[in-house]
Amino acid sequence: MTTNSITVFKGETSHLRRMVSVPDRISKEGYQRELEMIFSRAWLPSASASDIPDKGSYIVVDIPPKKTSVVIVRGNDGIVRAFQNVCRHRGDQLVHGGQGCRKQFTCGFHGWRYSLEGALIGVTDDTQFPELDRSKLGLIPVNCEVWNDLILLNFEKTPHMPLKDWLAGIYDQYSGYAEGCEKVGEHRVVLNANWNMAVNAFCEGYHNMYIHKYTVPDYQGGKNNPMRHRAYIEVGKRFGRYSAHANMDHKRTPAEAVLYGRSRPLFPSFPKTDPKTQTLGINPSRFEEWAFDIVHLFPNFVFNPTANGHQYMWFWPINEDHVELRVVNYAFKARNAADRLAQAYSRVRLREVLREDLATMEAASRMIATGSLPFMVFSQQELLIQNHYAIADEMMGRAPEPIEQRPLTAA
Amino acid sequence: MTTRSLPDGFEDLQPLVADWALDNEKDRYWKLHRSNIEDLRRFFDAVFARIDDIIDRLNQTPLGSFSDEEKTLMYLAMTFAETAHPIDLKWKDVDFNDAYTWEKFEFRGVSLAPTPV
Repeated sequence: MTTNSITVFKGETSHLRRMVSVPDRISKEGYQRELEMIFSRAWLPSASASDIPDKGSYIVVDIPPKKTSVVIVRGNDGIVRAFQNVCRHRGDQLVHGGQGCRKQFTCGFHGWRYSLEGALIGVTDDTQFPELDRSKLGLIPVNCEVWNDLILLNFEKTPHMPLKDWLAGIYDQYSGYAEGCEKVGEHRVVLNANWNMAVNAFCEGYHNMYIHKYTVPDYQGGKNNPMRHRAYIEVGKRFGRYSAHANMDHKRTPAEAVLYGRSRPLFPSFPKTDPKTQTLGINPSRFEEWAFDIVHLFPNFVFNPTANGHQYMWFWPINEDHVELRVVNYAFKARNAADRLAQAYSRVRLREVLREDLATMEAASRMIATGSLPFMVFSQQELLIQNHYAIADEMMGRAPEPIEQRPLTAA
Repeated sequence: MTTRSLPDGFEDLQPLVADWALDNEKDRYWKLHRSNIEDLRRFFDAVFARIDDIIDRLNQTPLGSFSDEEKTLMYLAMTFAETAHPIDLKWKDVDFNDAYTWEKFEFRGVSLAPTPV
């Protein structure tokens, strides 16, 4: 392909389509099909392993497309397990929200107790339950795997594919990326938008010159890359990722200069990094003027590593036209006040960039929901979005894109 | 209400403490959006002029061991760090055109709890 661009492309692209039909993807029926064929079968990143560091640490996670609550817990054996958050007696929610550390779980309704490994270990007034087989009444497990710092869930009875295969192409590439980091921000927004549109907006950098003019006017590209093309774009079986090009002439603003000057640079400053110290998957093409990566784990998760920190973004569908965004920021562990202030400055700059994205997303979704747009058109810089729909179609057993891939100049 | 005081040498910032020394990100965000740009600029200018002194002073104490006075100074500096961007980026207002409705943005976990200092 002729792209007149710095972008290095990797991965199989022959099956991707630059025109993708819209109306049936945003319909109620389309969404039902996504629930059955995608969200009930995919490995879904759901929490961070650093949220449950110790034996007995647990976190309760809502999974909106499954309309369920899951409790994820590190057992006394150190193994991370996930359970439907429901008592086997009469279905009360076992753990009511949040996270913490416990020796066992006790249902508030009638006091049934479960071990951290999910076994039923205590039934109150048990003489009134004749012939109760406790061994058959453990908590209901959800398939759960830890991949580096991420905990992924799968809601099939038996996963149709092991995680190692699901993440083919990147499974071995991210070891240790979260070491030395701590959580510094956690935000949530419910948007009037379809989840596909929301995750798409974070899978391309084409928009950054236009909608991020207030929050980060000069962070990417530069004289040698005026259209801010991605340095690297890769499409995989169930992931896509790109590397962004840092503007070497980025001018630090006054507070940015003093706060990062006293600590370490964070977003939107991008320090030079030493590829030797970075795990293989981060800045995979070892681009010299690297800013950050976007790693889309299909269907609804985006991982965003940058120097000195990373960000997780979840796009959980609530229904066909509402999506819940969960955004969690991590930065290098603060050693002193200066580091804490740098972390704070950065999380706010990221937050404001996000607020710039969200406004556009709702407006676009409102128009798309009218059904008036027959198809969307994607550039080479939006290859991750093309890949998103190709993976979705494959999982849903949908025929390849029905829109004729005619040249855009055709009448 | 008891007055929260600052460490010696930072008396000039004392008038800012009641309104601006806020201990969590959500409160700092709400303070930003309920201020006008002139008030924000006055706060920015006052703290920016002392920010190196503040960091020099607070870096002497390990995180987690701050006195009440040091905490107050730290929270004042945290509000500076989290409300500096409209001034930094030369916005005409505390928010920008086409920004997503600020009230709809939710804060959770570490963004809701007092920042560990």
